[in-house]
Amino acid sequence: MSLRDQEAFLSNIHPFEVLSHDQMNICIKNMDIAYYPKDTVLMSPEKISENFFIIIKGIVHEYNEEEMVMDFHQEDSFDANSLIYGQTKHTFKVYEDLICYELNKATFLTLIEQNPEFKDFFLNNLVNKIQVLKNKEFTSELSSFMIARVDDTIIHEACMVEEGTKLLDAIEQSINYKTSTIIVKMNGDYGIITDSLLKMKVLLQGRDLNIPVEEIAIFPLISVQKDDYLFDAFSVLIKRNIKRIGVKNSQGEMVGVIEQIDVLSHFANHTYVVDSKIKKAKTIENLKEASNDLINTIKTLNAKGVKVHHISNLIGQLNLKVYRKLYQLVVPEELQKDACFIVMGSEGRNEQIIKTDQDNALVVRDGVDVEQYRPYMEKTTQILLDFGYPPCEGNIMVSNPFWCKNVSDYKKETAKWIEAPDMQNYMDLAIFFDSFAVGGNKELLINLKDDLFNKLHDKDVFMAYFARATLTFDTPTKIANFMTKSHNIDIKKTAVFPIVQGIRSLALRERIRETTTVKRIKILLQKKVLSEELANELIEAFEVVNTLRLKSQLIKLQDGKEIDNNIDTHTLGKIERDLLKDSFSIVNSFKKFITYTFKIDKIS
Amino acid sequence: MIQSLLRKWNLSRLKDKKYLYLFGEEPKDEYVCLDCETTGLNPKKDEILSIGAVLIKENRIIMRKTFNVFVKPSKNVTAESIKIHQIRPIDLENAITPKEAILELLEFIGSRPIVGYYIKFDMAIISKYTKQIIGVKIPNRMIEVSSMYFRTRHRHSEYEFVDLKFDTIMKTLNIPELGKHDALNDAIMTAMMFLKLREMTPAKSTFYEG
Repeated sequence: MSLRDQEAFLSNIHPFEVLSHDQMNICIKNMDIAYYPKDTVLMSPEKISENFFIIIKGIVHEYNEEEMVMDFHQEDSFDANSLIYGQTKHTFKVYEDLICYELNKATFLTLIEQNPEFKDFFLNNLVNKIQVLKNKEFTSELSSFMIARVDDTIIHEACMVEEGTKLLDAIEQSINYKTSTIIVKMNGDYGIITDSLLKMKVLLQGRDLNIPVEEIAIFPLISVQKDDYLFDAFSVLIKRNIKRIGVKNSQGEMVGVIEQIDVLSHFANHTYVVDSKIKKAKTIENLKEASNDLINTIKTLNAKGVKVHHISNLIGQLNLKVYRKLYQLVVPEELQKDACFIVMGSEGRNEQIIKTDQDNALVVRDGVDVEQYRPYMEKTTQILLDFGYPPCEGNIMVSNPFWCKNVSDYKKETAKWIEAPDMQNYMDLAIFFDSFAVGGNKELLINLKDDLFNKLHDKDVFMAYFARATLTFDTPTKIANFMTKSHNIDIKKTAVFPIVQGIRSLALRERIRETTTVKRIKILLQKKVLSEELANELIEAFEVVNTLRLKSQLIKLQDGKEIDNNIDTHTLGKIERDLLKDSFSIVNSFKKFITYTFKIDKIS
Repeated sequence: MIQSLLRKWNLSRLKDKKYLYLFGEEPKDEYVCLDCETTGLNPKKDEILSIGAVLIKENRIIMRKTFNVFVKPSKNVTAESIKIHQIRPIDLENAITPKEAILELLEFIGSRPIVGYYIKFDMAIISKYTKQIIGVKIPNRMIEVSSMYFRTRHRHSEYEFVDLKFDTIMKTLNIPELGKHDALNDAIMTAMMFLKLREMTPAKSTFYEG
């Protein structure tokens, strides 16, 4: 392989693209290609590898004792963890004949030291891995990034000395501790001595090394609590422009320091950047920029292995802010409070990660003239199209007079849908029921939803028809294997939609205001409508199918292809295929549950 | 028997004792995989345009020190044949004389066995040069990957056809494509074939025959 070919291969592998040209050369000059037949154990707790592996061809499985926890394919690399910490609890075994690059440990560690971005990726990965393990059962309103606590990141042990300690002794102690930070304790207060401080105050000034530490330490050491939000620690670091910050436990004792670089790596995903961009936007143009940053954010988050519902939550939050800001920028202030700007469908459920369409509407207070809003709504739709939000095929957009009217007109509409429904009305109702207020007066929407719940009370037949949509598309019972020709599965029809529609039907019947599918499932569980087992399985399955969908959409986005809901089963790894199979069987049993609970067989 | 006689005869014609190392003992578990780009398929008439080679140690292809040279074509090499091999003018800027190239190659190979795809051809054309330069044919043992591959195929009869095309072997053995086909990339892919085939029975026991 010419150096150019190798460089091309490597630059496609995350995070090697962040290496500078020189660093890339160092990397290439220290790599060999190795071959390992099936079943070779590459590393295990007893046998730590001296190399970082990058797969050119073949498959490797990672085991935790007997359980397989991860599979690696072409262009995957491993295992930064064991090289950084010199130990591993896992075993890596060749599953399919492996041809791989081997980058030696020393070079890998040098690159990590030389390139903060490169380092961030791996540290972040570690942090995330740990987090993902921790958060396995844990789901939250906010992204895992936003809710990370200080002790979720790496707290470096610091060398603590009492006042009066000779500087020389303190330095020796810190070398034993393998740290460059010395914390000085004086009358219950803490100070800090860093390497740069030693350079500045001792070496350059030619001071004696026998002076007591407090003579050069900086007091006080700025610190945070272990259970503070990492985000807050981050703002302190940025605001004061310092590199490290002390960490105290709940008893107020100093336990160590966190480094700016570790915290940065946590937030290297730009979400906060996008967030503040939206906040600061003064013009439509500013807002457009922020909105365009979202797609890169999704890519980064996905590349870091953040769970999809965290991503969709986060993106949803940001999207919501874009809408809110847009409403404020477009609609004159005196008009804002007499109307409610809503997003519906997948956006209302906060489940649209990649913009595939827009469903939005405006609800205007009774007695206020709708006509004065129309020009602003036309403009809103135009701007959203310009932002790259694709138009809605069904024209469910505020520019359409049907989706921009007074409260009482909407009420007439929903009454009509329920009394004399046709197929289109079921869809409209479904989209409308998922609506979420993003701007203006929320009360108007709450009022509409209450009205809807009341109208549907005891309408069992209508609800059965509504729920029957869950069964519209078939869900496969097994996955096409490699021998078949057709290996594209429409994941939306086979899995995403049945879960969404089934849960939506239940939520409508149970008067649940929440719009996201996962939250609806949790409330249905509280209300004992769903069993614990089914609820957990549905959340898992929903996560799996959305992850696969996002992955394939991101690839299509990168290749400039049209975004659809197909996934190519031939590109799935073994674990993914198993997960998908399980998810399909969960969807199928959920369909049975819906049929039974809404007595659908009585109407068909 | 014949082999060793030939070898002795070959050795007796060596011009310079400096190159005795080529006849030395083979280092354990080390090989060189090589591929030449040439102007045609007749070793007597045709010339070498470039040589790519890699060192194999145990299960590794040593990429830190690969061998890749372009040879200055003589007057009678047309621009056309160079185009076929997609050798760019810039490649020829660093081109060296055939003699320099061959001496560097011998240095790289040492006494290691040589692995290749239809290696007899490459060795014949290299020997044409070595005979002129150091007086002997290149003496190293040859290992032919297509023969190794042939032995791993299950044939239903003696006469069943086995497709030995380079690309077919690549596909069957699931060897990755490494960008464009040039001498060095082909040498690396061939080395990957060799490493894989060595693990496959019955090749394991019989690959010593060239």
